[in-house]
Order: sequence, then C-alpha cells, then structure tokens
Amino acid sequence: MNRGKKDSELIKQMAESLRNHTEPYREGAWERFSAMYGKPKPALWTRWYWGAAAVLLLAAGWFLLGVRQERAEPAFVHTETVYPEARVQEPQRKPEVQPLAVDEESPAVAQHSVPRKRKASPRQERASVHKQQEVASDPSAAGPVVMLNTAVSDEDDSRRQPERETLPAPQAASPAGEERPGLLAQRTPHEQAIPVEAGKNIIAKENSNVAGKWDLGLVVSPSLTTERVNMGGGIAVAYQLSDRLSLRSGVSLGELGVGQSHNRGRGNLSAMLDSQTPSPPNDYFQGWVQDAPRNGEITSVTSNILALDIPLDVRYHVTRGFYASVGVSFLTVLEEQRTNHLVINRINEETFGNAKNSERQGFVGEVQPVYLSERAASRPLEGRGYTGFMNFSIGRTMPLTRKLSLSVEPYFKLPVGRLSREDMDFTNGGIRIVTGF
Amino acid sequence: MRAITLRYVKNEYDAEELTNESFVRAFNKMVMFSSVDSGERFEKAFRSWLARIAVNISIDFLRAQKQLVALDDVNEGELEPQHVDVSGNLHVEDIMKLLAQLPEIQRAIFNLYEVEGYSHEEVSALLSIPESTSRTYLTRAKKKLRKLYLASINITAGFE
Repeated sequence: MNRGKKDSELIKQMAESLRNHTEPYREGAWERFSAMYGKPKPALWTRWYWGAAAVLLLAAGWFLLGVRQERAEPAFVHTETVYPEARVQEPQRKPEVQPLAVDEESPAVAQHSVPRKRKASPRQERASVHKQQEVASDPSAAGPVVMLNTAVSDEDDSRRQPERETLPAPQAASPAGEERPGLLAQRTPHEQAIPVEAGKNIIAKENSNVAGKWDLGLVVSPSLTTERVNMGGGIAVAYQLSDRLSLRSGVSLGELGVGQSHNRGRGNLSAMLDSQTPSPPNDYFQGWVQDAPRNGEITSVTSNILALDIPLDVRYHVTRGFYASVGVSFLTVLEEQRTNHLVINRINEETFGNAKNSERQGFVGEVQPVYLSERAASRPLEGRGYTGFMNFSIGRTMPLTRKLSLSVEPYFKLPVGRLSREDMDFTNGGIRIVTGF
Repeated sequence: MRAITLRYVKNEYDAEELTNESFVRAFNKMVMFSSVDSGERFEKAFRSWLARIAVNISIDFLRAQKQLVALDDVNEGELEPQHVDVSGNLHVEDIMKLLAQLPEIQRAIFNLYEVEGYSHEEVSALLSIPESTSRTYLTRAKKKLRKLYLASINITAGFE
C-alpha cells in the first residue's frame, strides 16, 4: 500500500514538474522558420498553370477582338417614317414609332432614303443601301417627309441621329426604292408591329448569335505512329455554318516519331545512311576485330520531328453530341532528328587469337551481327511545309458546365500528296481532346 | 509551447518547428478563441487553448510520421513492479530523458493523460484508439518510467 502510494507520488511529481516547466525562446527560431516557409518555391505544376493561363488569355483576347470586329458591322437597319402633319399639329409630342407599313390611302408617306449633303463614309453608304432595300418605294408619294434613320452600330449613333432627323426630305423617290416596290407591304402584320425597342433586341440577339457561332478551344492530341506514342496540343477555332455543319481550324504543335515508309525499297535505305556519329568508343568493340571492314546494313530509319499542324476540317453533327469531321492539314516540320539503325557483321577477335589451327574451320561462323543506332546528319524534312494530311475523325461533345464543354475525338491522319511520297511514314492516329468555351 | 512540443518529439529541431507552426495556427484561429473570464483566469484559459493547439500539432506530426501506429516494443515480462523511492531533486531534464525512452504511443498517452489532463475518452478520440488501449498503454508507460527511474538511480549510486 505504501509502495503504491510512493509510485503514484513519483508519477505525480513527474507530471507536475513537466506541467510547470517552460522552455525559453530560442533566439532566431521564428526568423529561421519564416525564412524556410515564408516564401514557398513555386512548384513545377504552377508553371504549367501559368503557361496555360497565358495561352487562354491570348486566345480569349483574340476571340473577343474577332467578335468585336463582327459587331462593328451594322447588322440591322431600322427605318421609320413620321407623318409631317402629325409633327405640325402636335409639336410638343415626340415622333411616334410607326410600324414599317405602307398606307396606300396616305400619299404623304415617304418610302425613300435621305440623300446626304456631305460625302458619306463607306459605313454610312452600306447603311444607306441597306435602308433603301428595306423601304419600299411608292411613286405616288410626293409630300415632304422626315426620315428617322436608326442604323444601329457600335459607334457614333448618338452623334449622327439628330443630324439625320433635321435633314430635308427629298421631293422624288430614290431609284433604289423603285427597284423593289411593295417590299414593306409584303411584311407580315407581326413584323410591322415591331417597335423600336424590340428591334434593338433583335439586333442584340443577332449580334450574340454571331458571337455564339464562334467556338474556341484547347486541344490535346496524343497520337500513335508506327514508332511511338506522341504528344501534341494547341488551339482550335470553330465556326458554325449551320445547325449541322461547322468549320474548324487551329494551330497545334506536336512531336511525331515516324519510321520509314513501306513504299520505300531497301536500296533507298542505303542512300539514307549519312552518319555524322564518329566511330564508337574503343571499348565498345573490345574483343572484336577493330579493323574489320564495316559491312553495315541499314535495317530501319526513324525520325523524330517537331511539327506545326494547321488543320481545316468540316464537321458534321450527326446527332446531338456526336459528330464526324473530314478535312486537310497543313504541316510544317520545324525540327527533325533522324536516326539510322544498322546491323554490322563483325568477327570475334579473341576467338581467332586463342584458336588452334585445327579448330579454325569452325570459326567461319564466328561472324556475329552487332546492332547499332546512329544519328543521321541529314534532315531532309526540316523546314519544309506540306499540304499533308487528310483528317478523319468522329467525336462526342460533352458539356461540363454551362460554358465549358469537352470533346473526345478519335482521329486518323493519312498523308497525302507530297508528304505521302516522302521516305517516312507519317500515318498516325490518336485521340484528340478538345475543350470548348 | 516549446516545452509541450518537446515532450512529444525527441528531436529539438522538430519541436522548434512544431512550436512555430503552433503559433501560426494560433494566430490564424485567434478569432475562434473566446473566454468570458478576465484577468488571471483569462490568461489561464488562453494558455490552455495554446497548449491544446501545440498538443494537436504534435499529435498530427507524430501521426504523419506514422510513429503512433508503431508496435509497442515493451515486453510485459520486463515490467515487473519495483519499488521506487522518490527523491526530492527530480529535475525536468532527467524526466525528459526518461520520457524519451518510452515508445511514442506511450509517451503521447502519458503526456496527454497525466500532464495535460485529458481523459481516456479524449485520448482515444485524439489518437484514434480504443479507450482500453489508452488505459493499457498508460499503465505500461508508468511502469516503464518507474523502472527507468530506478535504473537511473542505481547507475547514479554506482558512481558514488
């Protein structure tokens, strides 16, 4: 009992001592800690993220610039006419928006465009032509009118509109109006009843439709050639021609490991042999006859190229989400590294040296093949461009988010034209993964 | 806080790093600390809160090192109860040396239960072990400490 009590006292004393113990601050501990962890080194993957972000930024900028240029074109011209009598009688009232209609009982309605006092810019001319096509002409109309031209464009609308409202009305109808008489009369009552605000909405909708027809994406395309698996990637741009057809292009950079073409005979391989590699190290052939005549025979030639691929494909949407595409690619070989694979017959030197005369008969068969790979000096493909591939692919698009989609697309590229006549086989295929924004 | 982390890890540099990490976490979680007390009781509550952070950081470190799941290397046969005379001058440095000879899991449980005042239920939740295991390891830790203490006294007596 006494012993247990003392044991317990020991533990209690230990615990109490530990509990009350404090350690002094060690000088510089915090500084060392902050120096070590204060500025974390950027990991390797963050560089990839930065690179991807830069590519995305460039692509988005380019895409938005393209859309802006599209929007700069006047997509729709709204023309309205105002009865002069109404303005005279009710000067304080703003000109009412009138539907685009021809009232045959009202000869005062103007159906022609307003001539410009000063020379119009090409943009204004386009708007004027468009307007003339929209407004039907009535030869019987002779009264003075005021035209309100609300040609919609991204710039200077507010500056130009008042000027147009004060322009004097011409006395004669324009010839352009005479070319398409009765156009307004052919419009449906629903179209005639479209107010200005609705017209602006239509314009905005049409502009957004133009933007919506463009699609931009990033492409990753692992491919398989006869030699190895290659990786490539780039940017893809698509433009929707219709509901089912779209045109796609882009730029992608990738490596391509290619082997010799099957169309080439063995004799041509000898012509490829152009080795810049010096003789192998002395110890490489230790035990082999050093001065044996080189009886090399090229068994194969491979080439590793870095190429820029610019495709132009037509994509047909078979069903929702599924599509097939066919097109051509322009290929530029940026860099090439060619390797010759040789087999050399060499005679075993040691076997000869240690052999007795009586045993030499058996040494005829001691010539053994040695397999070598040598880097070739020639780079016949480097710097050359080809209208090179026929592209075939099928794919499926899967929406990931509201704005982001992912397409998985098995493809096959068949060399055609001059590229098919090269000494390397460029046939390749793989799976292309395309993101759409 | 360094005194706390030193009880859980043997390496001084690890202890120093854990201390700094504890302070970083304390600064980050400062808004979560609340106490209705004031004066000395507030200081005590704050110290206790800091100690908890240091303990949690130390336990996390040991768990990451996978030292807590190491097998208990103490043979029961070696732990015969022995009488220990408590001497008056039991220094912290000596206790730390004895504590360092315990397996990690036993040292952690001894510290949590005897020094920090955790219950076996809290210890089992913190270390993800059953309560019975916590009790068993605590008993073993105490026995081992007594044995080590006795051995150290005998060694000291041999020199005298």
